[in-house]
Amino acid sequence: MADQIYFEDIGEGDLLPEITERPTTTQLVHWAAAVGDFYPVHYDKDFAVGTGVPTVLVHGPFKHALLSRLVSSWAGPQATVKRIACSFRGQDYPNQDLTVKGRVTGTRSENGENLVELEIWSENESGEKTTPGSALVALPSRPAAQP
Amino acid sequence: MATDTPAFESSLTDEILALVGVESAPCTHEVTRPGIRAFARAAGYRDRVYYHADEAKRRGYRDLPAPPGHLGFPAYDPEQSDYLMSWPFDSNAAVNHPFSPVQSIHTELLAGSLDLEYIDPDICAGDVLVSRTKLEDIRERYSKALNGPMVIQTTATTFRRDEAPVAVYRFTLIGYTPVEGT
Repeated sequence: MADQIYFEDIGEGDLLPEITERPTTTQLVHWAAAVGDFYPVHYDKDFAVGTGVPTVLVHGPFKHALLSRLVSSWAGPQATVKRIACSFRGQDYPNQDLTVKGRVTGTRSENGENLVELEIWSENESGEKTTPGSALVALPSRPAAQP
Repeated sequence: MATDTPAFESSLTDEILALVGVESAPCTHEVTRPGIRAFARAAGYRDRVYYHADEAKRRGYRDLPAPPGHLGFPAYDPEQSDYLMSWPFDSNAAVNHPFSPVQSIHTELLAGSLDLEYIDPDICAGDVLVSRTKLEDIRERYSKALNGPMVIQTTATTFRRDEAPVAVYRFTLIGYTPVEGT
């Protein structure tokens, strides 16, 4: 179980602990079955090449899920993920490192919630941002110290 | 003003453009323990809360919580569902699911963007959600990378539980036709 992070403990510029995955075609098959996406470009190399790409592609929503995992793992069990958005700017391929990263871009209190804005993104092995995005999370306040 | 974008004849007819704002038929999504475990496993979660109901309940959840991004699984019907994407699909419908909203002349598809906004993120195994997909925008432009025109469709799929909205899944789909030598 992840540790809890509190609103009072974070500030603009803070970096999230990055996560590196090296998705295999087996993992992509797991993903396809988990979400019901059986478009062959994600598991049939001949089909993929026929569409003009070099090999099978990592699913875009899989990368969204990795970014969601990055955010929810950092934010802790008492946090609420309110929004995760990303653009699929670059293609990613299996058996290559895919690293998801994030940093705090703003904090505010609104309607009784402690909101944290994040810039999030994925990078390929060459360090290129393939999936830039943003997230909004509500964090708990640090409990008052007992006298 | 000079431009280096080649001219092309748009494939978007007035009839297609008029579909902006039109909603699909409803789709039922079942949030189940096996579905949550499968999603969590595929996304690499190791937290027991997504796998063990006793741990989920100990931590205050009604049942296994859905990881962010998981909104259940479309209830599959071999007579009515899209074989590849699992959502209901009707070739006569004006608008279908986010991964094939409007019939396209292009043969290939790419995901463009995904924006998931939670209204009520308390989604657990046992919930039944109902979604409708609205076509928010459709446009066509020339892509240098694809060396040809591409159609960009943006949909907003609202998921509801007992009529109350719980999440909006905004997806952009890019349709294109491969050009030899690209």
